[in-house]
Amino acid sequence: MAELRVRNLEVRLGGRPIVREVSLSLRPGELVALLGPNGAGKTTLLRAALGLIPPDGGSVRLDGLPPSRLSPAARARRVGYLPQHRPLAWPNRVRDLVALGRFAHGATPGRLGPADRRAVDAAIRNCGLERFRSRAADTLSGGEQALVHCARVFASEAPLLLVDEPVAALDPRHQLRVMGLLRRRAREGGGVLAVLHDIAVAARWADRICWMRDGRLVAGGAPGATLTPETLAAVYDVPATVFWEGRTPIVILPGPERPEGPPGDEEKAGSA
Amino acid sequence: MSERRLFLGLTAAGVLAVAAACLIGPVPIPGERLLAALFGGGEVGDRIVLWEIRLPRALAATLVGAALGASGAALQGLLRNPLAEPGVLGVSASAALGATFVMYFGFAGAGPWVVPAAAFLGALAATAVIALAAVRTASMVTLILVGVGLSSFAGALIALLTNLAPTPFSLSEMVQWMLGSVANRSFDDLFAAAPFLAAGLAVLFGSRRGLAVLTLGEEAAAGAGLDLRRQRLLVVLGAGLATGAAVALAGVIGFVGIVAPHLMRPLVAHDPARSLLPSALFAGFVLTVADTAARIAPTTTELKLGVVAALLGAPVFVWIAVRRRVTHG
Repeated sequence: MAELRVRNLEVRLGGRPIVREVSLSLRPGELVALLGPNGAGKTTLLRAALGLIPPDGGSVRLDGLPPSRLSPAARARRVGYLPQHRPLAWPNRVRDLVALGRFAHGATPGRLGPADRRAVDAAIRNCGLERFRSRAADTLSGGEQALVHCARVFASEAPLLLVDEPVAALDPRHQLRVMGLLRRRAREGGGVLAVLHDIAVAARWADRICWMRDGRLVAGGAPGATLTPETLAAVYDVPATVFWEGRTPIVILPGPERPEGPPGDEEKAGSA
Repeated sequence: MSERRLFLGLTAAGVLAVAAACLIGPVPIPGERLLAALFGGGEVGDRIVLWEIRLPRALAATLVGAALGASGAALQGLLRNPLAEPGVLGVSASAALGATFVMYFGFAGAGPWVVPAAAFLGALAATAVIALAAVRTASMVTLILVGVGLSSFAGALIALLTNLAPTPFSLSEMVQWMLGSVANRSFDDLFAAAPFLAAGLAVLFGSRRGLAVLTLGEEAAAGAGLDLRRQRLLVVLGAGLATGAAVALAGVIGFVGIVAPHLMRPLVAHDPARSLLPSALFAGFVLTVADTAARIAPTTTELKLGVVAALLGAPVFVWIAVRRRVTHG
């Protein structure tokens, strides 16, 4: 079974420690959210876990092997990666971009085998992109492009996925769609580690949340166990309130009160 | 299957352009006499005109175009920039510096191979520097900047040598060579450049798959399983070898390396990997036609191929820069 295991990982960039003594694991079937303030070391942790940068201490094991011992293609067949910045160099068609997910299987958009074609078609269908298949990706909205990138990593059929801010700058509908796709991926036997910034989104969708600050994991576990005002204060330095409406967590961040009150009150005030 | 048609069409156009270049000239040779000369028959004069003047010249234009077109397409894919070309990495300028150097010191007369060999050494030296940078650096922007720096430095040294040219003769020789031409090339010249050109093209074609995935950006490409260092090294090496051979054969010929890939890319669904072959074929066709046009143009002095290519290419370059569809920051 595919497994990513990080033990006491240390990463320094330009002499500064960015990731310190981080241990975490990712297995098929779970959607794990990685939360923390900007500069906490989340992206660096993902990159080191993929073997894109070498660890300065501790270890990373992908199916029991350090990623550096695997060829880039062999590593990419085990774990997919959706980076935070996704610049597209050319106005490629959606289908061709999704087909690039098959690179580690030896395919290119111009040369797809039957298995590649099946994987690409399934990814396009699952992400609801059929009607955009032949569109140039630069004519799509940001939300639609996010779905294309999801389809691309899904097409790789890698059992594990590391995704960096998959729903940043998306409208609520596209946020729900992308989170739904990632969760479905986990339910169908994939393991997904997602860097998120929206606490409410993480709390609703993730099986586990890893809380990171200054390069360290400060808490980790199910939202029900770790989503507390104490954790939020320790991670973000923000006094937040957490309610539970049945099994639904509601996180309230500080800010000014509304002078007009809720919509009902406003109506009353107007008729009076 | 439209890509197959594109390939067949470009190949046919290339063959026709070479045939036309052999037919057209100050001494018109009718088709049947040309065919006879091609297969070793016919008049001696026809055979000399075909085998020692027109055919090697047309083939040189085709090969130089193919080398520059493929190098340009590969570099645009690697650097993710539609304005990249062999000149950007400083390879062309360094090759020109090598040639200018031997001309300045008057070694050029030592043999017909001296100038091409010096040009090629210059190209290889530049390729080595760029390859080193390609392996060491983390970003393509650094690679471009190293290339621009190298290019400017080679240009400055060329200017210095031209400034200090000992005789008007060597000055004129340097300037002539910098203009770029395939006039008076023989099959010996072609055979000397061919191995390097073939090796360069083979390396570029062998590494073209990685160019497709670089569309996603370096970070995503690395995540998708691309060995970035190896990809950079192969493209820089292949482009260096092919460009070095092209400059050794014809001097400096600009713009075709930018324009050909740009015109071909939309025909292959903007896939840099698939743009290599059409770019090579199209650039070879364009240079062969441009060289024929230069030969028959009614000017007192024959126009140099590099000048014609620049006159045609520079406006297209500006058009590309203005019309560029920006898909990222």
